[in-house]
Amino acid sequence: MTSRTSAGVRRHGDGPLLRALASVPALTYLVILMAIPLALVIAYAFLTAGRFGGVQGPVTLDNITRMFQPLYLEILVSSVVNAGIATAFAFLIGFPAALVITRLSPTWQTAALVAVVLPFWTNFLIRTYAWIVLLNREGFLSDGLELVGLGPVEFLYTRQAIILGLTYAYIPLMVLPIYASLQRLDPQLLEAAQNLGAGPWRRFRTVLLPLTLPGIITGCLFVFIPSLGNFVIPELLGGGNSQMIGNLIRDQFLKSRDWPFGSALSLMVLALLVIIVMLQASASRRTRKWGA
Amino acid sequence: MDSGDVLLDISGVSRSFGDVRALDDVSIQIRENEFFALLGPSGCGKTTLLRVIAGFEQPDSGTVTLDGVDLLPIPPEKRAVNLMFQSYALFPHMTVERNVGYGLACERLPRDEISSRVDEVLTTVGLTDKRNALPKTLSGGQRQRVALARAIVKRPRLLLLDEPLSALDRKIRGEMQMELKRLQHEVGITFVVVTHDQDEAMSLADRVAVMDRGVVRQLDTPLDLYRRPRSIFVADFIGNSTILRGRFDQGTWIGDSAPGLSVPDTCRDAIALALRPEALTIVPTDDPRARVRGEIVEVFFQGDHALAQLRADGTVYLAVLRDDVLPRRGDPRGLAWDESAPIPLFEE
Amino acid sequence: MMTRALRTTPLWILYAFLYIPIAVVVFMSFNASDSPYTWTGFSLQWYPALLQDADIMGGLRTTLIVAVGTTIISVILGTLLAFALERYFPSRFLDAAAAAPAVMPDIMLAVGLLAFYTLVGFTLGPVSVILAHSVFGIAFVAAVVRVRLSGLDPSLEEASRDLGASSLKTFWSVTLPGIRPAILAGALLAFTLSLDEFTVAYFTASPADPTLPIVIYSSVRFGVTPQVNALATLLLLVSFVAVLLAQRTARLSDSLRGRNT
Ligand SMILES: Nc1ncnc2c1ncn2[C@@H]1O[C@H](COP(=O)(O)OP(=O)(O)OP(=O)(O)O)[C@@H](O)[C@H]1O
Ligand SMILES: [Mg+2]
Repeated sequence: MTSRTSAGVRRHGDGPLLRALASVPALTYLVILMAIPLALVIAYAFLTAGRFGGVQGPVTLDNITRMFQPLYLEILVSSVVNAGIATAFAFLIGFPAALVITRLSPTWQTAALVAVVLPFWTNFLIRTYAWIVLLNREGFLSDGLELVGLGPVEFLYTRQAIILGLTYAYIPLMVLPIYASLQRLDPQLLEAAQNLGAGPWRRFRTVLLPLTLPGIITGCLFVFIPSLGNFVIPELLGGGNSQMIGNLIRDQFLKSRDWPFGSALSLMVLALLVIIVMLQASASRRTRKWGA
Repeated sequence: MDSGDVLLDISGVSRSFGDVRALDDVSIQIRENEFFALLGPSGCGKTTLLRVIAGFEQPDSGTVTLDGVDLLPIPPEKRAVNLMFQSYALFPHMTVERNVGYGLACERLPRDEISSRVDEVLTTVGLTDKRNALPKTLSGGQRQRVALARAIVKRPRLLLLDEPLSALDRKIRGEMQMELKRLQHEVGITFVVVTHDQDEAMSLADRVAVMDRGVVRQLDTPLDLYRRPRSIFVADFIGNSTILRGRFDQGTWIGDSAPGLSVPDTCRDAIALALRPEALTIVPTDDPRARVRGEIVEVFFQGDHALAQLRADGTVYLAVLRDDVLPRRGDPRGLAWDESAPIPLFEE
Repeated sequence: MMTRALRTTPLWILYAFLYIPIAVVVFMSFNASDSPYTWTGFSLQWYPALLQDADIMGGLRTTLIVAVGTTIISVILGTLLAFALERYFPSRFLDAAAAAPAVMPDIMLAVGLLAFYTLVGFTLGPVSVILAHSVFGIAFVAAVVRVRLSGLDPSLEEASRDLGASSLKTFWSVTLPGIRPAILAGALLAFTLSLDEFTVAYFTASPADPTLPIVIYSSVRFGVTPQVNALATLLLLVSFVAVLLAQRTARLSDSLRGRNT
């Protein structure tokens, strides 16, 4: 009898033991292996490098100011620019493709999307490697140009190759959110615009673009964020001469063992991202107001 | 018809979707400043016809001309035809003012002209105080007015309205019907309204095309449609009527019911007769005027009048009741009508 | 017909961009010559050669160990986290915190974990990689399970309680079966992510025990070899088959779900 009553009392929710059992381990895990490491990075950014690696006092702003030396500032800026251009290319190729997919029949839409995501599920290094094969001086592209009398050309180890590689690596992440937001758009709105006299470009600018903006911004974030911190593509496709901020961070941690400076650079990446995510949040707030 | 004032000429237009013939050899001529209604049951091709006129569908065959100019090669955005969508299709991210001004901005008009014309049309539809509101904050009736304002501000030659009032409740619908009519006189635009509500078509339109499965069954003024339907379909679809199938034989009507009715010679080629409820009078069974006799099945009270169903020889007749004392179910009664009351119907 | 082909051009451009490089790698893996660029004839010789390569086989072993470990931790903790976020402690802050590992640039997590392991003196090896991969594994599993959990009809659990089942029994017999497809999907996600992950592994693995992506990275750095072409082709094949299988399983579980509820 009594056990029945207590079961009845607890019916509105699980017992405190169960709640604790469910919540404590996972949250503890994330605190120890995510929050503390991030806090370490932030703290190290304001410390001094030890003579044999590691960190030591005193607290200093040197690492922060050092980032603004021309040498590093240039790499910072070019990282943002590279990631930005890659994002723009991914958008220019991805948006029209997503638009085409939404016009297919439902079964073909699924197939088309799987085909877009498929390369993304294959190893990232392998996909980058594929471009080495293509872009090399002895590779296919160069051979092709040589045939028509334009080669041989070295595409590899240029800044263009880095941008190409970044675009290639993350373009599926651009297509998916854009597809999702195009899918939600009422096609009659485009017909209404056309009926009122809007040509293709105006329809795109005044109806399609603003109404799919949340998806576009999400897609851009999905491409920009991993591009910014990437160090493999600049190294493999850009060679030694073009570095990005990811390479700089990697070198501080694994080569020159200047952890505080590496941490400061990581902090910079984080700061850039926080700014971008905040911009995205304000854009999505605005679209929510339309109630579309 | 005087072809001089034809604005839109639709001729032999057909359009199929797979096996469905949405439009089957449709020919309609619409005159300048006319209020024209397309009426028909769901799926009969009304929206498809509007979309052909607006340019969102290409017909498989046939021609469409506006002011004598072939419309079909012209892309939708270049046609002097505006469409008010069934769902309104208001741009959710634009204010009322920008929604209404959108079509003018597409014409690259100067900003002050746009704003003065938007002002003007917002006054016409009574929405000046909602100028800066977003569509989502408006009521159904207000959204409908914005959609209307957006379509008329461009002063199109032809305004197409796809079930403009179907989303509104009954009372607002009545008000908006009158407002549409008023607007049409005010702005002097030719209106083509799609509806499946016969009352709406009858009360608004100068002429009505009744469609059925992609075919125009009859095109007439509302009065003629009611008084002289040519087919069983139209007689049934517009107003209430009792249909008597049968054939004409030397001045009498041979059918399953009401044997030996005498009918005028105009019914010679008819395949059925239609009797409107108001042409029938309910009389006592012993009244010599009674043409058929039977019993009352049901009485419907309709506010300003009442209708009664009377079964005689297996046919159920519908008649308007004129007496103050309503008969009751099961009462024996007779039905009387003028010799000229039966409407001959020549097609299914 | 012509205009239709024209209208789908942007999609074909995307596909060409995505698949031409992959196709070239697959093609060159069958090259007889040991120059990676010039085609001399068809040969399968590079595939058996892979099995002889100690680095690659060792990397494969480590990667599989890491992926399995990551999947186990991620599934258990991620499912619990989903309950905590969805039912017990709903809060915007916790939501953001739980999603952070999935959206953070991987290099942040990588350097943070390296700093942390060094600080506490944790020896780098397969275990340190498992713990690191589980951070985002948990986030992905939790995200997938939550969606399913929020769509679960609460009256089922209430009915179970009403019939006298304890909360643990209700969890085992009602809730868990309800979210099983999501747990399965989350497990698959965690497994493949760990299998492919490079950056975090690169910072948290011991040099003596590299994962397969790290092995690939080291050999690719020194140029293109036919052997890598063959390895790439095999990995492509594995992931293509896995994605297609997952796609079919998803459709299967969709249809099962449709029949049950
Ligand atoms: N794009 C299309 N693809 C396939 N069939 C279509 C398409 N558009 C219309 N149809 C079909 O054509 C027929 C006519 O459709 P239409 O929308 O013109 O009907 P309607 O008279 O407007 O009906 P309602 O009163 O329900 O709006 C229907 O059978 C419809 O299913
Ligand atoms: Mg319709």
